[in-house]
Amino acid sequence: MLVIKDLHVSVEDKEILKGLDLVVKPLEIHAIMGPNGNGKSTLLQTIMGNPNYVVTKGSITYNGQDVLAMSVDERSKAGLFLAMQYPKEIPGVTNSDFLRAAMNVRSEKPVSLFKFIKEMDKSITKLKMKEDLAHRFVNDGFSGGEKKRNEILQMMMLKPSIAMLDEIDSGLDVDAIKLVSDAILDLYKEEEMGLLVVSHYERFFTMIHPTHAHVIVDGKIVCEGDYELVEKIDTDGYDWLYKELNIRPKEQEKPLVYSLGTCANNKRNLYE
Amino acid sequence: MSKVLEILDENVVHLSAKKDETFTLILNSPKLVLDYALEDGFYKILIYNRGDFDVEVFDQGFIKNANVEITYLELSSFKYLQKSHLSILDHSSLTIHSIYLINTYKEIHFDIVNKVAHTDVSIDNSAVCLKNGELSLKVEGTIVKGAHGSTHYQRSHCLTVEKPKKAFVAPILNIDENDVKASHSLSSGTIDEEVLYYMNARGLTRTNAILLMIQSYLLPDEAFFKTFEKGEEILKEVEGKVLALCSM
Repeated sequence: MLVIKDLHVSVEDKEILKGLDLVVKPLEIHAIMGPNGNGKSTLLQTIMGNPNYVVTKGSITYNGQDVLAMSVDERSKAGLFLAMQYPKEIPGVTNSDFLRAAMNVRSEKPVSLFKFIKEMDKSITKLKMKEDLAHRFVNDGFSGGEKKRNEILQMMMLKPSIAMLDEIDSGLDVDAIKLVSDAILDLYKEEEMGLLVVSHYERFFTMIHPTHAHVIVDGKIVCEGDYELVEKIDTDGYDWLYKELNIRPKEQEKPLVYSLGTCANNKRNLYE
Repeated sequence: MSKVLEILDENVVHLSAKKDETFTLILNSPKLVLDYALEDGFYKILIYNRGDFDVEVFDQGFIKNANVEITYLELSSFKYLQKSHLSILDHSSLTIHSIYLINTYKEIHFDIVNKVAHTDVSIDNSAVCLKNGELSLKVEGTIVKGAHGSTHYQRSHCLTVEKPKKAFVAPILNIDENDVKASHSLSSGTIDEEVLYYMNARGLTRTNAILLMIQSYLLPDEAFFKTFEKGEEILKEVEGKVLALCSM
């Protein structure tokens, strides 16, 4: 069971999460929704231990253990998994070497090569990924959709207890979303996982059918419910919520645009 | 045919052959002078520095009517100086792979010359510079007048881990003939902290992650080592050295 109490998180001295409480039990699927830039990814990254996110107050425990006292790799070995919104490329390191190293750190004896290859091939087939995936470098030259499916492949191989999926459906076509949802649900049932899912799209939630839904606005959970809440937000958006609760979302910061002036020739200069 | 030469006290080695051969040279001496005269065949040579002391390697010579692949493997924690001067003659090709893990001062100078027409050279250098490392790598390729139809390609890659003292790589091409193909490329970079976080998030410690990246970046695969006698033994030692240096 993952328990988050009064979590406050800052990035570069700016407070993003402002007192968030959440409990995730095995076999629960929690949908995390809310406008962009209001703390959804921050929550998942903080649970995973991204050093850019500083916890200023509050606690996160997992099965009674203090998660905030653990390093990132310890959290992973404890059973937490984050499928990232923007998975990184690792040129030079093959998918099989990476996964095998990740599996070996979780077991006392090195994983049998035969067993590993068999399981990897099975996962590749299930996700309908290219057969040569094992020998390709991690995410190097992958399309956006392939990177997302590779995250799910890693999840299938590492079998976590709590999986956090950060916009896993973005970049996937209709068929791929179905494949990925099926793979997630199969693993969720097999391993009795708890899931934390960030997405903007009801299509994906329709397929995985969350048991709980939470809306984060300006760093706090402002509304909670079940799948009906997901449907309502898909139909009516967030405006009804802002009016009802008299709140405003945190505006996403737009990058500053600097004008360099014009490099067009002044006609007068050309002909004078 | 495969030969192993363990170089202990004697430091001048003449490597001549006139048929296909594979040589494993295991260097355990502070100085090596290696003289090549390789003709009429296909040769693979692995030069591995096993010594736990400062080492100087001077290799020179020619290849003629031969295809030669030389791999230099230097992962010691000691100073290393290498000067390699090779002439490529009649209908020959030379492929060099050099692999350096650097946590102290290492100076390497390649001087490879396409001496006649229709000769081919390919040089691939990979270096990982650790915290106290200081690398000076000069790769000089020359295509002389008359060596038309020749090719000479150089690629150098340098990965730095935790800001080394210095990493200097100079690729040089001297071309004195038309109708040739030549290029040099240099890439350098540091280990991305965000990549390290991604690997940590899969359970790898910082050391495991850096080790995996260095091994993948630097070392040829197991199949390469199996082509040499004592290759598997060398691979085990090399993996141990990388682990030891990364853990420091």
